[in-house]
Amino acid sequence: MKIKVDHHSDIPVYKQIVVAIKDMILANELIEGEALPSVRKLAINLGVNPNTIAKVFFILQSEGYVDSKPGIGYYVAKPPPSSIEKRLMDLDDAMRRIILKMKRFALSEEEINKRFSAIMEGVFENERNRS
Amino acid sequence: MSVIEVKDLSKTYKNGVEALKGISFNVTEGSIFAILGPNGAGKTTTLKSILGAIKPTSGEVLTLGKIPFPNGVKKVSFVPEEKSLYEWVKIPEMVKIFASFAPNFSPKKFEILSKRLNLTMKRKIGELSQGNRTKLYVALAFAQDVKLYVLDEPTWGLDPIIRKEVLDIVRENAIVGKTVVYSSHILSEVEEVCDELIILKEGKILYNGTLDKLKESNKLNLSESFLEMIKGGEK
Repeated sequence: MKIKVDHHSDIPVYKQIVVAIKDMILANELIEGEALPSVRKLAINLGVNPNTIAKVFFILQSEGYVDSKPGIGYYVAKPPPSSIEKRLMDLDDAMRRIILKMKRFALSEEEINKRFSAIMEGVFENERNRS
Repeated sequence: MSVIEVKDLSKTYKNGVEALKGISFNVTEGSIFAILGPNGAGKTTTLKSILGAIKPTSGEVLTLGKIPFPNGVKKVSFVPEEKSLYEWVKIPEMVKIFASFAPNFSPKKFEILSKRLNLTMKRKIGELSQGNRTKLYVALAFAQDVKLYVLDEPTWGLDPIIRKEVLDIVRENAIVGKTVVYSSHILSEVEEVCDELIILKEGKILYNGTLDKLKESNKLNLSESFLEMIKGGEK
């Protein structure tokens, strides 16, 4: 499992890992039923303490992203139907912040729109070229 | 479960220096616990009290359920701040001397650790650089199979690669359920490994809790929080 952890961020490490695993599940990179590595293995892999991973699994389970079976360990569950929408709202919020930042430089609505469209076009163009 | 319980601990030295002014904290079993603070904050005095090396002026300390002063506590391993050993002996002899009194010491484990830390074995202790002394102490400490490791500045003088190795060793021990208490003034390093911490200043506790909680409540990373607290006390 590849997750980049920033120990020196103001966001606690457990939160960074929770978001990364949720995103992998929502993006179907981790498939329902797939076994997750053990607490110990993931702790060693990511270079974090076992307590941190235990907390991550606890949160993921309480929110319905993973489940556990005795003797098997944690595996990917089917996340609640609203979870993608929730995650998109987080990203919307991130977008909102960027727009507010742009507004500080006295950009008009039209100018901001233009910039967004240009970036969107670039991203989708790249994707088309790749496929 | 708490491995260490400190309650209202005060220490005034004979020369009148008040090193600790009534501090209280608990250390959870299996955690990596950091003691932070500027020079003279009371870090080393706290560690010595946990080990039973000094007598508290008032208050209580329980280490692995026992009062550590004056007999010390078994199943505790220690890396001191002053990294001095028998200066005239060579490392393999020092290891033998150490093995003769240190509980649960494994020469084999020492060999593995000294290789990981890239420790030169042929020199006399007196010829070792500060960094090599630190390596030797860390290898000696972790070659003991004990419940609690107490480390005073365990990365003093180490280059970044070996420092990372030491942090890995600390983490590996936590993974198998050992408790590590350590003091450091290198915040970025502490931020990489610790679960819980206290921040000391002038013998008092400014923060006592988990690293996660500190970040969540301050919306700052460890270095920023630390500076804010230390400076905040000066206003």
